[in-house]
Amino acid sequence: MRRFILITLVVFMCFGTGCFYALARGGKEEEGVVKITFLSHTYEPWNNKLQEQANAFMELNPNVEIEYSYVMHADLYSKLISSLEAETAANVIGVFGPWMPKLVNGGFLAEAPSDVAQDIKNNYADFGIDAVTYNNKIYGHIQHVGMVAPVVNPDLFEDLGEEVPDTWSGFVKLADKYSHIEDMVITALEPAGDSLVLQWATVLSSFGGEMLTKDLKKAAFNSPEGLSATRAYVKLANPAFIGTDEVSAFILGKAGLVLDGPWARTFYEDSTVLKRFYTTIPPKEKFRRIASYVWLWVVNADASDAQIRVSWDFAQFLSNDENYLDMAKTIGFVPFRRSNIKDLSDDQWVKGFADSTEYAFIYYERIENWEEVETVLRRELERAIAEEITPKEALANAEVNMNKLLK
Amino acid sequence: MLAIIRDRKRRFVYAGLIPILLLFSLIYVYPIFSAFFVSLHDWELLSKTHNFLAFKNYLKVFQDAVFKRSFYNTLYFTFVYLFFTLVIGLSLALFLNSLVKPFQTILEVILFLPVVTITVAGALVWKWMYNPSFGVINYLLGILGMGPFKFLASPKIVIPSIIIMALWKWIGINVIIFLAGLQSIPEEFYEAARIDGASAQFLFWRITLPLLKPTLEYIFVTNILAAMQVFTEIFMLTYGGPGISSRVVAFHIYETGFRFLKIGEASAVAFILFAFILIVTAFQFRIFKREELY
Repeated sequence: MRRFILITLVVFMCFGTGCFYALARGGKEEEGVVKITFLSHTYEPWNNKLQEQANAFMELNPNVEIEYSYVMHADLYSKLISSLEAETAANVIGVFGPWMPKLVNGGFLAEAPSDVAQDIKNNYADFGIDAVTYNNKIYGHIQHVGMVAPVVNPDLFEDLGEEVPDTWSGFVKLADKYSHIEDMVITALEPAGDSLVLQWATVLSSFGGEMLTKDLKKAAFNSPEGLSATRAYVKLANPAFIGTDEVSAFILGKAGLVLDGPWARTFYEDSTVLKRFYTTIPPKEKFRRIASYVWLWVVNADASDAQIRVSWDFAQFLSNDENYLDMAKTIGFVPFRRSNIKDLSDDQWVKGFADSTEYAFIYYERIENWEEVETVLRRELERAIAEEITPKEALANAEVNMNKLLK
Repeated sequence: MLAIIRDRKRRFVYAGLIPILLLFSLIYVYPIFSAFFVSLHDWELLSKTHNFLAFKNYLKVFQDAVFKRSFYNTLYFTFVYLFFTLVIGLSLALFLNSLVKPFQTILEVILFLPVVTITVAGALVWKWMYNPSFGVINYLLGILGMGPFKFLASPKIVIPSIIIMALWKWIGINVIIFLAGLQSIPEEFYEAARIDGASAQFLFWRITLPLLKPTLEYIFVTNILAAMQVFTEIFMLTYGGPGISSRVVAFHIYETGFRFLKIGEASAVAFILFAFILIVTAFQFRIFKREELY
């Protein structure tokens, strides 16, 4: 019995000593060297490029050590939340734009130093400045922009003997006219899922509707403009694609227009069915508008002053003119720096996105529970698209449920 | 002397159990109490304040229309899935039991393959098969002059469509268990009954089914537990939609806790689900115990 207890104690002591040594060693910094950690989600070509850029930054700054890691896209949020709660979060973190208010209000993010803030104000397109700003302060550099611009299959329209419409109403007319043709859709807008509200917001804003009231206390979409936009959207989003990939219909040449991002270029280029496709500026209605979201590089406030400064410098380095141009060309990101928008004008695919930045706006409101608010709206829009309820009922239900959350 | 040795041995066994009991407490017992504690608070992740609410989270959950629909969907999924898994599983097991060895083994392997397939991968394939425009199921139905059906897009047929996928995924394990149960029934019982002129129906209802009772009980309990907690199939195929047509309680917990960060409310839902499963399971044990058939 005594021997057993002794052996158990020795095992625990060895384990404890090992842990202590590892922690002590890991926490110790060499003199003059600033170590920062850097976290993003996984996308292999991008991860490789980021590692290259981290290496380049370390070459330029020999006193800086950067440790880069990435997690699956779906795991990033839980990794972020758990590491922030445990106070082990990385110094530079890639986060989804709508998470920013909660992170700022929780005191987790460091505000941008004045020189970084000035660079952003001088060089970002307007929607980009809006995306990184909360309570009139700048909290991030743009990692990439989620702008889904119209991608057109001109052959489908030519085969029907029609011009590609320039208005959402024009697309609705064609959708009605050719609704009897099975196996083909004029537009394949998102009928469900995470991008539904984003795409619907493009149509809503084009019709002149607003998401929330100015004070962010009430839903504002249940208006004549909102109803017209939702009726149009329901016609343009085929319920058949719920739970499946509507972009595939476009790749197979069965859809005339889809909203997609520049990262999807290779999917279309690799299609053996789709002969021609191009990106274009968004269709007009009352306005020409395109809803966008951003992913940001933010800096963890729970660090030394030196680490925070280096983290901001590194985030700025990743998003500078040269590196971001490289990202736009090689990874397929939306250009958001004013200089990049001009630089990319010779590339027809990226040009559509570059030109669309003029009409871009950040569709989500800067409130802590945006994701819950958006989900309430998404559910009702899905029901309308699935013909379970009418667009009018959908907006009314969403308004009631959303207002409860906004109080 | 013997008593002292026995006492020492007992103490040694208890001492040896201490580390594993500590580990068990840390991994299982502590999180349960911790989750219950959290469920009594206005607990949001990334928030510094956690106000005590007593049972307000529970009351809020019971008043929530989305939770009610999720609960209804869970029950719908569970009972339809359970019915078909029992009927199809037992029928396939009876069929396999009647086959000679190589064919039986080949079919067992075929039926069991989906069980060892990753659910996420299987669900992705089913998502494509269900595609109304270019999915193979609608194509085959089209040949028969039926469809196209919006399997995952129609609120009316979305849950049955998910149940079909779940049956494909999990029926194999139930068939194997049923088959093991069938093969454990002594052949003498059947022979004696046949000598007395018993029909095939009589053999099934009076010998096979009563002697399969322990197997049935096991399949009943484990499948109800699994079906009440269904998540991956829903997450991958429909994300609870369209709207909330296929939303289930496990998905509700995930979304409330890990997307909206309302971990207190999510814990309350988890405890409600836990309590319901506990009651259902206790009820099942009682029924099976009372209906002692042989």
